[in-house]
Amino acid sequence: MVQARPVRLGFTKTGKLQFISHLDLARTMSRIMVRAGVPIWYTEGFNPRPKLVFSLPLSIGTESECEFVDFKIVEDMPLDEIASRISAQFPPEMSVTGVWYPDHKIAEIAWAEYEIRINSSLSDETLVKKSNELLSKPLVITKKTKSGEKEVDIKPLIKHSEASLDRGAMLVKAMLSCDSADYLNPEYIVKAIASDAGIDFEKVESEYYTILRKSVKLADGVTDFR
Amino acid sequence: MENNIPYERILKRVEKPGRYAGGEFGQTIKNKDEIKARFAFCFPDTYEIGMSNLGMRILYGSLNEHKDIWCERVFAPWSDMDAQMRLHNIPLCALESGDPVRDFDIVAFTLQYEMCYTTVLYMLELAGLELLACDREENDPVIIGGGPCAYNAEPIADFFDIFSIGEGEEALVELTELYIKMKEDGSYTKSAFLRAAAKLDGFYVPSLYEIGYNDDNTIKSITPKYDDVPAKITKRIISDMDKSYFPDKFVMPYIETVHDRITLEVYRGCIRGCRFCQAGMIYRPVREKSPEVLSEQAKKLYDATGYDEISLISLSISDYSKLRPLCEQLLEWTDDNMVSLSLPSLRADSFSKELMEKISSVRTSGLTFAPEAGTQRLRDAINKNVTEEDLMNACTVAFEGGKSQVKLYFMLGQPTETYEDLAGIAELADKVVDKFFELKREHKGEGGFKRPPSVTVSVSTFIPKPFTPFQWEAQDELDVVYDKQKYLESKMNNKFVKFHHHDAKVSRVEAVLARGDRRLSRVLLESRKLGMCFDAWDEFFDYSKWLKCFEAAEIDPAFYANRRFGDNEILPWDMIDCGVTKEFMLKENKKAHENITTPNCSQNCSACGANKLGGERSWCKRDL
Repeated sequence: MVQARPVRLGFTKTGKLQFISHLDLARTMSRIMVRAGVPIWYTEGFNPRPKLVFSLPLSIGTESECEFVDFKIVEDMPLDEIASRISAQFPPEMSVTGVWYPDHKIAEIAWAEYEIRINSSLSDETLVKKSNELLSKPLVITKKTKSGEKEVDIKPLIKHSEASLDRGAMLVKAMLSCDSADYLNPEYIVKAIASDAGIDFEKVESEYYTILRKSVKLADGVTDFR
Repeated sequence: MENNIPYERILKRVEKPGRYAGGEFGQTIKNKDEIKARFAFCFPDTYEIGMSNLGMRILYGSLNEHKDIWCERVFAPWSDMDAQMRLHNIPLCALESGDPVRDFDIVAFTLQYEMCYTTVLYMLELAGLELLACDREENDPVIIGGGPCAYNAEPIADFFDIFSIGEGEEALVELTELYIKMKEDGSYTKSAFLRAAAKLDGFYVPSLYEIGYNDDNTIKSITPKYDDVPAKITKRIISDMDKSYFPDKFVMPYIETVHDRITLEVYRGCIRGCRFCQAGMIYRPVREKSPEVLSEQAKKLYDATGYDEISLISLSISDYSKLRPLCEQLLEWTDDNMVSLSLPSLRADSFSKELMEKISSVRTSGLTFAPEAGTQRLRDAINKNVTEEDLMNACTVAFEGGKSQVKLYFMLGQPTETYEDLAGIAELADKVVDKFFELKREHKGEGGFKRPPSVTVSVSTFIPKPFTPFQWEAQDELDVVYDKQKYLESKMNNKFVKFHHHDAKVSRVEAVLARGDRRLSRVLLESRKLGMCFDAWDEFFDYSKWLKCFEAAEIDPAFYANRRFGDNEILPWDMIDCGVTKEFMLKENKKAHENITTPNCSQNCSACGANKLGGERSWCKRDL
């Protein structure tokens, strides 16, 4: 047998798929691999399963154009064949962005770029200005952690950010830390802006926001994770 | 749905949005311009429950095989989604297209249990449809019902246009073809369609029958309103199970469902004839599939789904006459692909070491058996035909095979039951525990038997069901059930035995609905006024609300639940013929009161009547 060789699959998770949790996605992906007939390496033990490692689990309600899952193959198969086999088994709203031998280790991931779109009656030039100011200064928020809540300044976790007006909504482009120790969920940015501007997403039906993960970068904030 | 509705905003505000997202791999999407009839298959419960139902998987596939029909799925939205839909004026929609259910041609509800009736009405209301069939317009969809509860659909008859009686994979296609034909040749009006449907085999159109009542509230007559409407509707069966449609792909849910695996239907019907069991009667005659066909179907489904577990579905898997060859054929490829087999519905009298080894890869630490009664006397009366020795043998196999947990199912309040029978339940559980320790001593020093035994006794309340030998029997009054539960609890003193019992109030309402007649539609109309739904869920079931409904509708629940029906009484479901004759069931009822058992179909034909339905029968080969 050929030595198990690591392979990385890039895919999108947009539209309605944002409502599928990470656990559900993991189960779906392992069935996709079985159907695709990719000679994937299984975990050993009592319940053998295809061994899949997802690099950056996504929260429910966040879309992404750059998701990754790593696995190992135990027989040679051309990468483009793996890609087309998997693609044929994807549900309608998922698509393969590529299959390659990994260049980087998952631990090298440092930043992710997001597009946050805030649809609100308050989305105007004033809000843009206010939000840009808010995100340029130290920003202390209450973060939920395993051991309870704590006050954190998230400014160091924002590499850069820029708010602007876009088709009637406020668009915030932000690069946020996704270092495993200092992961910043983009929901916190939405919360900070909303509480600063007095937008109530919970109560007002016409106010809503969307979050899209655009790219995942290494520590320099420039090199794409591959 | 996405066109004009803030879908994403709504799904962000509900729990488990995956229930409503749709877009699963394996769903069927058709071009609306190329089809002639749109069929909404509604499961009156949550997505997770409905997506686990094998019947739905079969019917969805068989309808979509037809080029002119597009069948889509509809489930009941949970209360949080209901609130969002009402807030945004969103009607109930189908998952595939997102189109409103009220715009479909045929809207079908599968009726798997009586406690779903309130949910059916809730879904009709969410769809924006009138509840009563007589209030719906000419252009509204035709509302049909099917599944086990359609055998006595009288309590919900006023809400439906048509009921499909028996197996639906061929019948529903025929009905839809009739609809298409009448639409095309211009002969369609709703009433003309219903008249024509009543003439197809296996369809009951309730509005075409007049029900008369006696002064004592029993039924006086069931009369077809027209000469060409059949007095009796005989259920439909699939003749040859090997040749019948079985899906070669499934819709793959993203979220975890109750049975998230390959479900392989091994055979239909049951040879046993337990006297309380409706499934054992209405699915007769027994028709088996061959191991070759089953193995091929399982392999295709594995390739199409990627599931890692195959569950062999039937009413009693160890009664399948070719179980060994089937397991051998399956194991030829399942082991290598790391697919495990599971065998639910095991009977204690046929659970062997060999069988256990075949399913050793199953990921459970326990096994479940259903002795149903605590003494041999009562087990004979209900025709369970399982002995204490059978149970002890089965538990021996399980314990020696490394299992430590055994679940035992019993039913309380069965006809002829005495307190001695109840005490027998506790004694049987104690004996299972004793067996464990006896075996532990025998196998001393061999390892194993490390965990302490755990025996769970789960006791439900007897519900007399239509089309069973016990259909005439009375259910115990609530206070009698409570006394019996208390007594049973007092007998459960073994620290290795856990005791659970079901809510007797749910069973009482279920008994009323199971044996109810058409007048109960009034009760269900009241239930909608009170906003009731999901009554199969503990957190929704509210007995006091049911009492209010009965009172408002001037219906005495005891008349339906706690009364012994007369042997010669016209039963509300007498217009339906399930194959098994009323005479046979009455004979079985008498034998129960004399503690006499009836041999199973593999031993001897007892002339239940189901052979007259024809089909490739596995046991009752006697001439028609």
